[in-house]
Amino acid sequence: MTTGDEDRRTTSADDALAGEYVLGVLSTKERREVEARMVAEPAFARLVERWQADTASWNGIYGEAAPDPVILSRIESRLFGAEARPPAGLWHSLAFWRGLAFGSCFAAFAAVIVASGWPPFRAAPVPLVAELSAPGGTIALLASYNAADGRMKIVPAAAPEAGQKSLELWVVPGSGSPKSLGVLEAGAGGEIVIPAEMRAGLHDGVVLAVTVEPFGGSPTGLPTGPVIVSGAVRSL
Amino acid sequence: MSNPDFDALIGRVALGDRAAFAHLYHASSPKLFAVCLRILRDRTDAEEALQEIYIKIWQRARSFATRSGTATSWLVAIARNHAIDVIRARRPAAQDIDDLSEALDDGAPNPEEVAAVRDEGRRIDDCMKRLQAPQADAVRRAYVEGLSYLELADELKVPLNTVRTWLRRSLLKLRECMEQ
Repeated sequence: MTTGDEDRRTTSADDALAGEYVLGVLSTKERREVEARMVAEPAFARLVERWQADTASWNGIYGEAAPDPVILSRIESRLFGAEARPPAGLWHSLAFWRGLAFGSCFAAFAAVIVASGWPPFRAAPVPLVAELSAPGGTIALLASYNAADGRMKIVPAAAPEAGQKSLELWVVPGSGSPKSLGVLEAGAGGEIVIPAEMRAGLHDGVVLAVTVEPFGGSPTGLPTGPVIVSGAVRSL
Repeated sequence: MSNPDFDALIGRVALGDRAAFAHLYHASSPKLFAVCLRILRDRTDAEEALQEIYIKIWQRARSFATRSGTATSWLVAIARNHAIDVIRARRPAAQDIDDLSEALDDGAPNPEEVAAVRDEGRRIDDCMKRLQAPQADAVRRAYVEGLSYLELADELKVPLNTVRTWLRRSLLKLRECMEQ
């Protein structure tokens, strides 16, 4: 047994009080006072536990009664949130995602991280995906979360509003026409394997650009749609 | 509901095992729901209370391993305490009963203050027989139905302070008997 300073000796009055608490006859105020003492005084807490064990033989008097079967799912959704009901929830709410402006994509992404922090995603049967897009926008970010290893992947994709479109990546050399590096495919995890003959063309100073093209990529070999993002390549 | 597996189930719940939680719910909720119904005497209130109780069980499962007593009495205690808190909030008990702790406190240390749960102690029901029948009945009804002192006094037609005095004396007699 512990012998902390506050673990002082208990008296008969303490034992009677512990018994009153376990019987349940005390007022709310007294019950809170008793509970505070249980935390502060281990010896007093043991008096309560002893009464609890002593009176446990009366628990048989209660018998049993089946609650409404729906109660468990209510408890689970309160404890575990939307995850307890796989088809519903934020992740699958297109209205939620589509309601966000493109400019707030990263705020939305932050919200996703927060939402995934609690309740923690565990043992979800399928990977979770969300499309982060903006009304009228031409680019979307496809977020997919693998519950098994905790990895979230963010892949650019053409926004659904753009219809059946693809995002195509181009390298724009200092001189000459842009050359296609490939189409960003959602299923490829954001990776594009650069054709071997193009690799020498990737170096400091060239510009990378992404355009919206008909599904599958530009039919002409040259950009046909609007450039949505671009930037110069540099060494780190 | 004296299921020895409850210990293991609560241990798994403490680790966040949701399947174990559902299993524990299915195995124990008929008992805990009966507790809620008996004390709250209203099905809707009892169902609301049951939800809160299992949320507490999920949250407190980690503390179970460090406690004495069986899993069943731990679960029932959570249910009873919650239901009693609900009923006290609904029907406030008298807050102003004279504090009798001075009168009862003779300053003598509790002889069994180690207060470990002792298996060799007499069973409470044997000792209840040593109380006068109305007092034993009041003690048991207070426990099972979650009656307040006010309700006990009403039912027994005795003044509030009287009922508290003899209920506390009854508890100490029970303790003395169980320690013999």
